[in-house]
Amino acid sequence: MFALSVYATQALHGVVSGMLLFLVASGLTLVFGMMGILNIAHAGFYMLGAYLAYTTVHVTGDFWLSLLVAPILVGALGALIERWLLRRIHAFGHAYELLLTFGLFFMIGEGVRWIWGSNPLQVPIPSGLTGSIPLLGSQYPVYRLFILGVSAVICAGLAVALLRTRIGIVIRSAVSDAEMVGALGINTPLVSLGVFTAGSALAAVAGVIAAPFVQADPSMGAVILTDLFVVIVIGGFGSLLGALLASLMIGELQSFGILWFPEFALVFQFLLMALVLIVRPQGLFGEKG
Amino acid sequence: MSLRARGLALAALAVLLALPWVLDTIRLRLAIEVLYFGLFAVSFNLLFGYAGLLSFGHAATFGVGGYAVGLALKHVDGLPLPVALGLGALAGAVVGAVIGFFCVRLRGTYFALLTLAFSQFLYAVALKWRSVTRGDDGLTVAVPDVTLPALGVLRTGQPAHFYWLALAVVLISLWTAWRFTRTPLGNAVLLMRENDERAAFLGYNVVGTKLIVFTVAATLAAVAGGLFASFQRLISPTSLDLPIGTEVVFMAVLGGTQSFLGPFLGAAVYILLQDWLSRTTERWPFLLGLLFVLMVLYAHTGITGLFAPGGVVRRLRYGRRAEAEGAS
Repeated sequence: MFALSVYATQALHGVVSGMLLFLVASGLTLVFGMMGILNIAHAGFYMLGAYLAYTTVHVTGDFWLSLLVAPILVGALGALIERWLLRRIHAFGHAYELLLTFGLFFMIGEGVRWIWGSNPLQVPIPSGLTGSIPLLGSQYPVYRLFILGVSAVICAGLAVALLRTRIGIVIRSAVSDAEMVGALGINTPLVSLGVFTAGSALAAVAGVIAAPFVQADPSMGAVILTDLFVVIVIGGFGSLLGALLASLMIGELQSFGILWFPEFALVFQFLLMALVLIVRPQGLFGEKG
Repeated sequence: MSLRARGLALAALAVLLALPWVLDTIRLRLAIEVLYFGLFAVSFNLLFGYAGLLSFGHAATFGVGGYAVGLALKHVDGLPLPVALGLGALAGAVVGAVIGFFCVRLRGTYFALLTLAFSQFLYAVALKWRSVTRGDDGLTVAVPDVTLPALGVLRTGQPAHFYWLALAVVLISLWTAWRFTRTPLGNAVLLMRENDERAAFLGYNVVGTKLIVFTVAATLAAVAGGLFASFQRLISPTSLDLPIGTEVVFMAVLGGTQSFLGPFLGAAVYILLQDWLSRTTERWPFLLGLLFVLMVLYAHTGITGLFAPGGVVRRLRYGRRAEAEGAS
């Protein structure tokens, strides 16, 4: 039906969008593991990252500066939300935390429309990363390879930080049993605040590098939100490795779904998610049911 | 019911029946929206408030009810509207039972996400199965007039007549839901919300009971969706989508999930507020979102919660005595 190189290119597309998805999902899944909160506003942080990239490029003309500006601003916003909003309502139970982050997501979406308008905004690909190179028997856009490279570096950085540093040990223990870690004299609220902030900043980084690729669009939050839900469920709540595998699966599923069944690409991922929730509710790598 | 409560209920009924003579057409249309969204919000709260199950996909059966009514009226010649609404309810019950079968085993966030997955799945089906649903153009619903014995003909094209029809359907549905919460099964649901492990240990069939509640809520949502489709004369995939599924959450939280009619009040306040804000400012969705966040932060028991024993209003009026009564 198609030439082999089409499959290879499509598979690479899947890896690229999967890795991008993982950048957003990693913060979400760590926060869920530690605090039990599925932070819906996380998708809004990603969108804010893209819009801040647009503004930074528009004002300064420097794309690389936005990789600094967006994570700092969005990280600060995340810290404020965790410290002043989420912590206050912790006692009401998870349903209200979910509702609060949903309300914040809604406000971010409307705030974006308010400030930047409803039309998609084009962020130019930074010079030096435009064009394509020959790869796998066809021409491949350089910028996609850049996305792949950045995500892989951040992914490796996360792995080193979590597996090889003291703070990584603390975070991993807090994911498995926050109460016990607190009893051992570690300031878990502070660790939660840090993880929430870092996760928000990471979502903003993903938003920045996604901006030239997908355009800054007020609906991009809602689009990635549904993908994120699917990733978190399939990978297992709170499991980073699961989130990585699930992100790549969704990336490939979308990539080949569009190739073979363009009409039903969306249906597949929800079917997959429903299937996983029914057969293995804790996800591929999740621990508790 | 005490004599006083009966008197109040009769007076309320008289006021509701008389509304078409008091309100102009625009306000009457808002009143009709309040009726079906109110029923939708109450049905949502059977899950959230009573069973403690937060569904993000309650729009699924709302939309299914709408599509069932639309398709039934389109393909069966001379089908009376009440029968079509009944078929819509039946479709909601069947789809609700199937979705519920998979969902009620899960709790908390897992339940919320799986219900969302099902509603998104149905949304995608409605969007793509063009030959049946006509895709995102939506399905035009041809609504016949209703002939009532002895009372004459209800012209469904007239807002006043449609209002009476919707009022009758909604009141019957609400009464059914209210009776349902008063049954022993309805009480067992409260026990399961507080502690379903203990309920199972006491010999209750937790999964079966939750499935019944889910199916009842789905059926009532489908009735609301059927009214929505017949009133708008159009049903489109947006009726199954996340915004409707989350609007209903907002309505219920706004009104108060601790009381039976709280969500209905919430739907009324939400629709009137939306109508007023959207005429006042272009930024109304932002303000509604802000209001929602403030509600969750400072008044998560909703409007009815403010007036309940132990609520802010009583504390302000009666001081600490009311607070102590509320605690007892």
